[in-house]
Amino acid sequence: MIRPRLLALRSSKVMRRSNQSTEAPHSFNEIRQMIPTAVKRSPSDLLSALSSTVGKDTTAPHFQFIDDPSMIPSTLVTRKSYYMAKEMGKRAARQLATEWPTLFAFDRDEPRLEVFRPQGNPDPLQMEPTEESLVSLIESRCVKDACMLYERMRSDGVDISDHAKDSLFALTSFYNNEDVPLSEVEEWHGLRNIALIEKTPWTTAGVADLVYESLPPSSLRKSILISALCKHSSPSSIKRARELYEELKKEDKSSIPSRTYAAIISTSTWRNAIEILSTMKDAGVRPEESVWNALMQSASKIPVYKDRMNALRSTMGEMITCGEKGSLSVFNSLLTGLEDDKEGDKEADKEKKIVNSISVLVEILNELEKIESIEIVTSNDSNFFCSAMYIARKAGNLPLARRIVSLYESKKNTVKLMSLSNEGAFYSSFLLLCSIQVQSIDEFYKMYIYHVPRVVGVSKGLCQTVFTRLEATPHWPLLHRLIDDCISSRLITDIYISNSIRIALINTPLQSLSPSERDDYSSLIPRLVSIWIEFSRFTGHMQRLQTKLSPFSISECSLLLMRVGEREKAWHLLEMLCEEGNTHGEDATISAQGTVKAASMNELLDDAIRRGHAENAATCIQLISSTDVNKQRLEQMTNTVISRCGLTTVQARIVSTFVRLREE
Amino acid sequence: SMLLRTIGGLVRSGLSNGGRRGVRALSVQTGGDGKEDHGKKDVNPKEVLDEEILKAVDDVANELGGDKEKKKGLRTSLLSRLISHEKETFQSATVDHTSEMFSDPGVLAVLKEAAAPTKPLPNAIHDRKAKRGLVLLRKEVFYQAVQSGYSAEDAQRISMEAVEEAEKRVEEKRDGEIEKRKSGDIEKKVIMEKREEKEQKLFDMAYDLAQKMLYGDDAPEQKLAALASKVLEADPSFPSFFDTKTRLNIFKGDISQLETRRIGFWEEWEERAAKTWNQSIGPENAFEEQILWTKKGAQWPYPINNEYLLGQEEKVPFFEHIFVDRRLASSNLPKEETSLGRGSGSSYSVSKGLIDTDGPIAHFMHLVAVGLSKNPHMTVEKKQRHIDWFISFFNVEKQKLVHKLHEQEQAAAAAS
Repeated sequence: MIRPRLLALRSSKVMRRSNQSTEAPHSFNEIRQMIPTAVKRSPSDLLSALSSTVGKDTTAPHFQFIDDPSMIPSTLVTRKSYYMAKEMGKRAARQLATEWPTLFAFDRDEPRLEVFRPQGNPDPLQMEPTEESLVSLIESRCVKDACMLYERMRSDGVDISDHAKDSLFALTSFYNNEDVPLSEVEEWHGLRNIALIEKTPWTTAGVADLVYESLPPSSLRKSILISALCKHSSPSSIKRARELYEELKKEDKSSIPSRTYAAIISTSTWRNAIEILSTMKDAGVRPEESVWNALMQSASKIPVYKDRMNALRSTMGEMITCGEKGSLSVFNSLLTGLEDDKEGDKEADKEKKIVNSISVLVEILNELEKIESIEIVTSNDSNFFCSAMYIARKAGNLPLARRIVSLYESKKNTVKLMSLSNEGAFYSSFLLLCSIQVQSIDEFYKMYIYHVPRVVGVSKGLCQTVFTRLEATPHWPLLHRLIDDCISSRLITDIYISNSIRIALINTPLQSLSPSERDDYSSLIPRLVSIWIEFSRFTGHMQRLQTKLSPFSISECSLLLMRVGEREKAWHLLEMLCEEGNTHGEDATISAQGTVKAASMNELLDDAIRRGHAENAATCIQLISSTDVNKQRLEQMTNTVISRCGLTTVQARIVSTFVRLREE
Repeated sequence: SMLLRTIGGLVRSGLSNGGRRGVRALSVQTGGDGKEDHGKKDVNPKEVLDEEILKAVDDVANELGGDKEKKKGLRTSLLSRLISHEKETFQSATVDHTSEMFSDPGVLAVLKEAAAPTKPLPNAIHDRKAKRGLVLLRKEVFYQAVQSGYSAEDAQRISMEAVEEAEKRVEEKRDGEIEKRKSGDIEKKVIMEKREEKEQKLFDMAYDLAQKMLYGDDAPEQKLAALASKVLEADPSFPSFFDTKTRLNIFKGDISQLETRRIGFWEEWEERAAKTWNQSIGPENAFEEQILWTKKGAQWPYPINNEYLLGQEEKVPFFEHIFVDRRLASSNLPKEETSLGRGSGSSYSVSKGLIDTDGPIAHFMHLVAVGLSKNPHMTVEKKQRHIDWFISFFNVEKQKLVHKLHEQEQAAAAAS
């Protein structure tokens, strides 16, 4: 849009200047517009720029869960199963396309995109036993297949170059002759999230060992093997790693990489670790992040708390002296090293230890807040936030917890918690701390809607805590939201939660609500009651899902319905209690145990008397008499009913006789 | 404490209400007053049972019994059976009712008001329910003690003492006497400290449980307070971990002179694993998703180029498609002499010249070339092959034939 205007400007100037013939040529040059050369951008630069403008919508679920509103998961379990269902569907489709390519023979895509034509991995037993095949398997990180092909080639006597063998040795030693673990699978986020990280002990005489033996010895190969033996540690592998390390130390200690020193330190005692660090210094090898982390781990093994703290402190001191700033995983190792929860400790000692941990944590936070950006270094980094939150929660220190959360959420932090595992734990610890320590209920309400169910799944424990909070300070918007969350997470059918909901609703001071809030209240109650009724009707083959009503809950529900003006429904519900068929037999929807709630019944009876409705009043008396043994009170009630509801003599006689008979 | 007091209050109000005689007697027996509980171990049957029943019992005893002793024995056993029956009926009728009633905040509020002016009952704790609970607690402590290696005798002693003390501590705390106790009772403290830690743990457990059991229906504020643990702050006097006073003294200062030795692939792969791990559950917005698709090759890359992955045609310039008739110029198809002279100047290209020819073959081929130049679905190569086919089709014989036919047609047209 700008260019034509500029050109127009230029032409008008040119025209004007051409009249003043003396200046014309160089003034034309003066106003020449330069078109800048195109900036080379990668295909995703534009998208990244656009993405950077998108903020976080705290009122919506994670992007991956945006779907049909009724499908959006609200608990951790449903979130997991939803995500896995989605991912497994994709995997099944991929598998189908791989195994049955003929089903997709008629595709005429132009251009043809290979990503939509998945190819199965070649079978190592069918492949041509050549070095190219082996290299292709190594490049696609098919560890087990590469091992099989290597075995085949070895038995066939096929020559393999040292270069290919080195690649195979690297792959098999790094992954311990096993396939790439799920935690490193790039594409399947769900699997990676829920996969258990299991450390397998080193496979002795596996392909890695065989390849190592077949290669001429070198310090690099030896270093790789030591690192692998320590990474996949078992008592025998550690022993072998130490032997190899001693050999290598004698041969050429300056050739040992920092990572190998770290590996051997991480499996050593503190005293040995110090010795190894001295060797490193003598060899002139610069210690990297992994070495400091390994030292922290080694120090954490010291059993006595005081000694351990000193070791950790001096490691930190050494690291700072060397000009290293430390990474999240180093800090995490430090915090977990300071963790000490011994059975026999006195309360004061325990507190002292927590205070120590907090003091260190505050220092770490001070440092991290100064750093410009926090980048991921190891897979373990995100655990720092969890450890920090755990300490803050233990200390009941809300300001500290807030600092941790704001550091985690700050733009400079690129380290993410795992959505399906530790993120929920991190935020729910924080929210529980808030539920206790945040004074203002309005502020807590804001925090609740910010976190639930987006990052904290709705759970029974959380709901109970919030109900306790609401019991102390009623707050309609929070209660409303909590009930909605209970409905969407199906906690509504839980016997304790439904009880808490009813109590909270009964205790809600209606007169303090605004007209629109009162409307919400009135529409919510019939909805809740119909949910409970519906769940009570799952009989027969659906019994698995059934949650029976109880006399207690029915009396409360009736009272709530009566309060919002749904009298007909209220009395109808109450009458259900008087019918034998509802409480007994296979199709029972109401449990036979328990009694009605006296307070609710009294209020219902009052309403019936006020309206002079004899039948309803009689229902109330019948139900009250099943629990109340106080004859005098029953008689008083009966007399009020007789006088206020205009009963005929016969009716009055029936009611009073009923009460008398009941009593006797 | 209010709740327990109200239980006592309720029971007493039950007395004045003039309930059943049985109810009344039992409520006295099981009510808030511990003294009555201990003192009246043998309930007077007259208070519990109706006169008619008592009479019936006497009659039965007289009829069945032999001598006086036997009669008395029979009578006592019958009465005790009847009393216990009455007690059970009373309990089953009232337990649900009362517990449910006390869970109702409305009733509680009323009871609170009613109970306020009355004197606090010192032994309110000896409510039947609480007592039963305390027995269970004693059992629990005994079991825990045995589990942690005490002999049965010791365990029994600990359980008795622990529960007793817990009960007292709970009571004292509830009555706001905790401060008094702290200042006044140093002796107790000393005893507590002298105790073995293992033993103390059992005592503390008993205290916690007793508190929960006796005052489980706390006010919400208390429940919240119970959830909140002590708030611990960082200790400013704690020596810093980030200073260099304490250190291992191995490396001396700056280490930038030292050599960085790496394995290479190992560090790269670890970094890759960390970055993969850091993806959490994938893209967080639609743009991130598109970035991922772009990288995978599932989406056309930006900036949009509609010739993306065009294949062999990618390198072919557009004019090759438009000016396909250039091929005709180098062919041996007829190019009539006159045609070149018809245009507006000699600078005409050969193709331009061809367009202007008016021979039937030239005209036909012009149409073919125009058609092909407008077809976006054919490759240049195919278009050329097309034209080549026509060139070979119109050989000298065909040309002569066409020429002859054309002339005949023109002659016929002229004649008509």
